[in-house]
This record gives sequence, structure tokens and C-alpha cells, in this order.
Amino acid sequence: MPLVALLLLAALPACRPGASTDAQAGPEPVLPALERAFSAPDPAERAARFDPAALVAWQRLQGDATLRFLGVSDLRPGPGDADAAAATIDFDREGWPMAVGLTLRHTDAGWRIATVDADSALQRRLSALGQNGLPRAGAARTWAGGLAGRDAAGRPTAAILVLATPAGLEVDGGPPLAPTPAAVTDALRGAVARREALAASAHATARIQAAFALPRDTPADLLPRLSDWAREAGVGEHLLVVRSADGGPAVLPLPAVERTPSPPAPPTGPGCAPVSPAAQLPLTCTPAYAPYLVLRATPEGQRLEASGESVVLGDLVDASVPEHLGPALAKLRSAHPGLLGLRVLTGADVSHGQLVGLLDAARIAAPDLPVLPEFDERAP
Amino acid sequence: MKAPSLALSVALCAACAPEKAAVVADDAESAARALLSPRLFDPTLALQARFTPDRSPDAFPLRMMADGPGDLKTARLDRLRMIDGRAVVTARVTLDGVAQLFGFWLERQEGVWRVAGWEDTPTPLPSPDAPVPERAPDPPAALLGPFFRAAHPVLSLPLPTRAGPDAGDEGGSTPATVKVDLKPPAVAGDCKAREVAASVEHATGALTACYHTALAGEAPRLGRITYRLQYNRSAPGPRATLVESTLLLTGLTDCLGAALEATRLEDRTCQATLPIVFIPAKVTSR
Repeated sequence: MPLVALLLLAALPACRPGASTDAQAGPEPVLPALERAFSAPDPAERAARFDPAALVAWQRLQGDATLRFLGVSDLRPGPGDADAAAATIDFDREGWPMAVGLTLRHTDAGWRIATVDADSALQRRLSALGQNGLPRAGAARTWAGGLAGRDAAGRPTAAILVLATPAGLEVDGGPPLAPTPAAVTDALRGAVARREALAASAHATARIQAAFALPRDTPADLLPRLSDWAREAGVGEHLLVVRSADGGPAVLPLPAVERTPSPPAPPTGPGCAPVSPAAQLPLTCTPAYAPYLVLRATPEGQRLEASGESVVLGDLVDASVPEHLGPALAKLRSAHPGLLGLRVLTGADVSHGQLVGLLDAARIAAPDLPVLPEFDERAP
Repeated sequence: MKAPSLALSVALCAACAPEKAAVVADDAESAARALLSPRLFDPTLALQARFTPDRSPDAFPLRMMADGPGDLKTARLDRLRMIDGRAVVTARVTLDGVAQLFGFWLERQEGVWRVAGWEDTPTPLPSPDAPVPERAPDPPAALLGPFFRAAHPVLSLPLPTRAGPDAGDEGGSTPATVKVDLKPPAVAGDCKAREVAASVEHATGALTACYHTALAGEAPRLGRITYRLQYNRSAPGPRATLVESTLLLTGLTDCLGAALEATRLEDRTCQATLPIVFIPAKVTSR
């Protein structure tokens, strides 16, 4: 009996689920050590897997925020040293996927994190989630993307991410670019080509969009300019990246512009009824008809106009309040049936945060109405 | 007492023994490393535990390309990425003296990392010591399905072309180098040809502008395009379907169709076939 028990005891460990003859045979795997450094329940165990300087860098990166470890997204040999490794780990802050680079070294005690590369690109993305970062919009749709063109699962997002930072415009997490049409359209064309090639290799059709993430203090005219540049680069569908009410990733879809050689035909309805069943439209109807609501800044405040009729909404703050914008929209839409959308004319004197407030209010008041921010050529 | 215990121990050992190769690693990295070893050439049956049931070890390209462990020099793990819950491995192998990168991926099934797919063609490397790029390449195409399905729906807003005519100035700024000749439509159903003709005549300016936009600077040319217009009482305008076109210009037929659909003829259910002829000025003057 004791012999049998001994045999059993000797045999059982090898039968343990997950027991690994492979792991024992080769070099010590990096992946489990790295995962434990970020996900072990005991803070002391986690800290013990960092070199002191790396631990300080990681703690500084965390700041006051809660960074949730998602996983190791990339692992490769360290530069020129068999006892070194490089890795990228993914974490999320308030639902936003982020990535940070690390190096590891092998010691007698196992793999340790030697450096945490809290580089400037990561700092810029983190600051986009700070106090003066992306504005919030309660009516925005939740979104699975991140600020570097990848989602939390490590896939590139269908939308090309354009992030405005103080250093310039980042496209898909690339180096900052000058905000010029040539630089941005070139980068966007590159991003489009990459997605199209991926789609072709997957025997799929790519539905490519551009997602613009702009901090609240950015002048509001940057958004329509970026939209124009994206259209020039062949990307016609646009999303505005914002923070949801709880701070997570969200988007306000912007309408795709269909350029038509002539203005859309007037609808039938009060004031535009056909004179006969033959339905030749009365000529008097056409000049009065404008197919869009237009919101523009005037000396008296924000003026919402439709076919010659207008409602003054006071200042931009008033216009951004759904309770103010909603009745004005409803009044003009019922008086002018067939309105196709709302064109919001903005200039550099308005902030992106204010513009998003307005887009959010319009979406709450009229979710079915396409709302297009445009650059007001007449703005100061 | 002894017999059942012994039987149990034998059963246990048998359960965990079925070939040592069936004991596979519990982390993706070790599982990948194990595969890039002489064990890759274990008998198929023993190796199957390292593969998902739908993948055969015999189809694994490294096994197919090498005759045995001797052929596979310096097989090592170059990069391991986690994409959508899968471990995507880039292996650096030297086969017949040629260094190349080979990609495959593992999925965790029943608690075990198993090979679930691979790229068909290895990528040759300029030298066996070529550095591992810091930035990871794009994920394998086979794992990109969700990426292409993730686009958000957006609304659309028709806007007049900026360089085109102003509102109310139908065709005003369009150079008069073409004449749009709307031929009498052939009508079937509850409407008259002259009603349809009068209705679509309002679109002449838009049709002209469509033609000029589609030309995009090219010389005007003669052409005929025929649309079928389907009128229905429940809709204010027709549904335009292209029947035939002798003009091959990008975007032209879409633009013309939209312009025709913007015309109005109410309280009618009928079908009209409308030929439109674009006559350049030179041809007109003949």
C-alpha cells in the first residue's frame, strides 16, 4: 500500500492539468512571468518583479487613475541579448485601450521588468483623457477603438484614428504630423492603402472610416478641415471620437457628404404643393426652398435658420442645451418639411468642446437629423 | 485493497501517459516553443494533441517542408502577439540554408494552447540575423474578420458641389458645351408621356452638371443613356434604373439617376423609359 501511494504521488504531479514538460524543457518562458507582474493579486509579488526604476516609472504612469491590465500584446527577444526580452502590454484606462513598451532581463530570480517606456506618445494619449482632453457627449455611441488605431483585442480598427495633440496630428498612433493638407492626406492615404491590402488578403471589402479625436480646447474649425482632407484622401465616412458620460470611448457619427451637382429638389408640402397632378413644381417654390437648417454665429448669438425663417438661440451655451435647441429644431422642421440636415458653421473663435456640446444637443433633440460641422468662410 | 489501488494508479498513469508529447504547455509561449523543437516531427497521432481537432499536423508547413529535425535549423520564436484571444507566433526558421519567417497561431481549447492556423507562405529573410522589427506587422488576414465588420453606420447628407452652380441658378455656371436632349419617354401605366417629360425637364440643369462633373476636364463626347423610371403613388418621385449607357464616365450614371429621382410626379403609378442624349457643342453645330 505505501508503495502504491508513493507511486500515485509520484505520478499525480505529472498528470496535473496544465503540467508542462515543454516549459521545463526549454528556457524559462517570459509570458507567465510578465503576466504575474501585472496581475498577481499580491501587490508585493507584483512589485518584486520590477527593477526599482521600472516600478517608479510604472507607478508614475498610473498616477491617480486605475489602469487595468489587459494582457501582453507583443513579446519578442531583447536587443542583442539572450537574457533580455522586449514586450508591449495592453491596459485600459476608463475603457480606453492603451499600450506601453517594456524591457525584461533574466536574473537568478527569474524574469524582471527592467524598463517601462512611458514614452511621449503614450503621455500624449493619456493626456487626451485628462481634464482638457476629449470632450464628453452623453448621446454618443459606445465604441471599441482606442487612440492608436487598435482595439483592446489588438486588431487594427476599421476607422483610421486621427488624434490631435499639442505635438501635431497622429494618424493610427504614428509620429506627430504638421496639420497641413499634404501631410495629413498622405498619411490617410497610407492608412487606407494598408486597410485595403488587409481586406484584399482577407477576401473582404473594407468599409474604411476616419475617426477624429480632438481635445476640447482645439479650435472648432479643425474638425471640418480634417473632414475635407479625409474626403480628399478618399475616406468619406467620419466619426467624432468623444468620451461617453462615464468617460469611456464613444463616437458621434458625422454624416457622409454626397456631393451633388445641383441642390436637392424641393419637397412637396405646404408652400410647395404641385399645382396639378402633372406635378410641375411651381417656380415660386424653388427660390424660397433651402434644404438645410443652418446654425451660424451672428452678432446676436447663435442663429438657427431654415428657408428664410430663423430662431436666435442666444450664445453657444444656450444652443448646446438640448432643452433650448430641441424646440427650435422642432419648430423649424415642422414649418419646413423635407429638411435634409443641419449644417453647423463654425470658425476658429469657437472651441471644439463647444462644438461637441452642440452636436450632442442636436443628437439628443433630433437623432435622425444628419448634423454636419462646416467651416464658416465668413467667420473671423 | 492492493489490487484496486494498483489498478487506479495504472489507469492514472495510462491516462496521463498516452505519449509524453500529448502533455502540452499551459502557456502560449511554451506551447509555441515546444512546437519549434524536434518534437514537431513526432508521429502524427502523438502530435495531434498540440493541434485543434480541425487541423492536421501533417498539413503544418514546417513539417511538410522538412524531412526531419535535421533539416530544421535554428527554429526559434521571434515574436508572440495576442490578437483577439489568439497567440500569433512569428517563428524564425532556417530550412535548406534559407532563413525565413513563418507565422502560425494558437487557440486555447480545453485549457490547452493548440495550433489553430498558419500562414501558407513563409517570408524569406535577407539574413538569419536580420533584426526583429520593433513595430509588429499587421495581424494575419485570417484573423481580421471582426475588423472589417466593425464599422459604425453613418447617415449621409447631399450637398451641392462647391464649384458647381449656386442654389436656384440651375446650370448657370456650367459651360454650354453640351446639349441635353431628353427624348420622348415611352410610358406604360397610369401616366402620360408629356407629364413625365415635363417633370424630368426640371432636371435638365442637374443632368448637364452631372455630365460636366463626370467629364472631369476631358473633351465632351456624344452619348446616350437610357433610364427606366418607376413611379408609384406612395412615393413623390420615381425610382431610376439604368437601362443602357454608351458613356463610360465614373460616377455619371449614379449622378444622373439621383437627379432623375429628385424630380416629382405625384399620384401616378407607371413606368417610363427615358433616353437622354448628350450632344457636345461641336456635334450640335454640324
